[in-house]
Amino acid sequence: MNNESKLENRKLLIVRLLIFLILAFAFCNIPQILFFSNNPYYNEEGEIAAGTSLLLAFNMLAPTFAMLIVRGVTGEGFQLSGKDSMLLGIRFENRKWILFALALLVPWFTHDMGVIMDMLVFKGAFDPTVLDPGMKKIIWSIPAICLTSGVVGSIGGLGEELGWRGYMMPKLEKLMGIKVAVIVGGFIWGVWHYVGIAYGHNFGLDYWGAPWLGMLIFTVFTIIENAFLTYITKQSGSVWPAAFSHAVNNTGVTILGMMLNSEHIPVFENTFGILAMIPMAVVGVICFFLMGKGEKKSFH
Amino acid sequence: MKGLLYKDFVAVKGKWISLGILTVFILFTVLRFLFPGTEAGTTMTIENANGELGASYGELYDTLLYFFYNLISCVMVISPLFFVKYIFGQDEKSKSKVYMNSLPVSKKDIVAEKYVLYLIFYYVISNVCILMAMVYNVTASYQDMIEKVQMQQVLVIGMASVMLLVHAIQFPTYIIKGVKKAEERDTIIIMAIMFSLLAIFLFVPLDYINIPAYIEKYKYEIAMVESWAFGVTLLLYFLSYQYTLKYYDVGEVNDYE
Repeated sequence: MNNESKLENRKLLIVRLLIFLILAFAFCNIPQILFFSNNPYYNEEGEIAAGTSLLLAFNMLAPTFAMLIVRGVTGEGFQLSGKDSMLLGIRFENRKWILFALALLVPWFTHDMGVIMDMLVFKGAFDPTVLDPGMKKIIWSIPAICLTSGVVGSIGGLGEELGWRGYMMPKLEKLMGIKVAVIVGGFIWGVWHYVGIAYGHNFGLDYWGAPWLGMLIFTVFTIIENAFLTYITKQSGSVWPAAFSHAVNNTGVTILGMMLNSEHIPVFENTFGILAMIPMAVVGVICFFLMGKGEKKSFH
Repeated sequence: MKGLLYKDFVAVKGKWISLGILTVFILFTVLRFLFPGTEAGTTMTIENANGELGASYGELYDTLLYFFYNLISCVMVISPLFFVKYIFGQDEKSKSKVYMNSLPVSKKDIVAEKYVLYLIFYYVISNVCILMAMVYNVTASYQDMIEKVQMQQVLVIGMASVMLLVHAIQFPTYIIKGVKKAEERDTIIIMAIMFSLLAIFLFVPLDYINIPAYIEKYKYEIAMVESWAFGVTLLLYFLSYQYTLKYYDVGEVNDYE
């Protein structure tokens, strides 16, 4: 391929990426602004407004709609698997099933490790008495419920992953290499959530530096999470592990968390979970360096 | 595998089914917004004919939509069961094994395709049902909505687990022995279940089959079984696939004629 056609390809890649980002942001943020301007996130009783979860659930599909439109308009095609595809194929050979297992178990593991961090640092945070006696008998059913609903009801997770990990990340990687792409991609993913955070989603609005501090902390989280999700997508050549992981992560799966007495945890940690984020950060950093090592391996 | 999946997708008129599901979903969403009803899921006090006050739920005021949404969910989850005979029947009728053997697809792909197809069916159906639950409960408060959607999720996952279990039993015979023998086997199983139930209701004292009492007594055990049921079902489904793969013969089954 000569330099001219390389330049053409690069231009086309940037155009596709820009259209995708504009659409993904528009489909998510415009309905949010319209809805929350008329229905505040928190109503007069301090409860989250009716209709919010439906709006947020459909927002999660925005990256997929954007991806489908860009693929259709720019003639990229709708290949299900293979090179430049939507990465919807599933392969279990060469021990790829391990990635699926990791996708499901890492959110649970990191959530519980995060709870342990809180319990170790804050005296009195570990308090088994807060656990409901009925719940004590079925405590082992909680991860099963979360994992099952994460896998079966992963439409929201898939909606985001088809766009971010399945479309944006391969393009960013081609443009700037995997290491920079993980950081830039995580940042973009974080910014995409800013409108929701500004209205009180994720952290509420009752904290120092609201909503800017919330946005900053959430961006750190998305960069960390992006490293893990990109790693499992790249290694498996499929968006499914990332979709399952995303959905399981959203269920907030934890066992130890039910024995956490939030009254003994400072408000700041309760709101943002900085300490609780450390285990996921460790996983993210490991994935980041593993991807850096095998930089030549493409998504397909 | 992709080609085989597409073959069966076309065989069951998948395009029309997808369009049908989409239409039902859009129609349901439009109806929900046209008739917002009361807050689904909220408890409210109503007065009966005798002037006594009692608790009622928001659904009662949304009877039509509530019925529509539950009916559609049940029909969608059960419908793949009716495609089984049709899909395998079409394969035998068109002697698809002959042309599949001439294509670069392995025995593993041929067997796995049917199992994967049904997993895709239930994945799509479950998610449509969950989205419908969200639309139905759009007027409920945030917490109510989460609870209602979770309840719907548990229901759909439970039904899908039962369906997958049925397919795990059905598929080996359909794939290994052919449609005719599978149908005979299905009839025997259904008859056995019917007669067993009849015998239970006729000869077992009612005290022994007091189901609500058992549910109350073993509620925690039932909750545990329920929560792990989907995982166990998937495992059995996988074992069924392994069994079928072991005994699958690439030769043609001529029973259909």
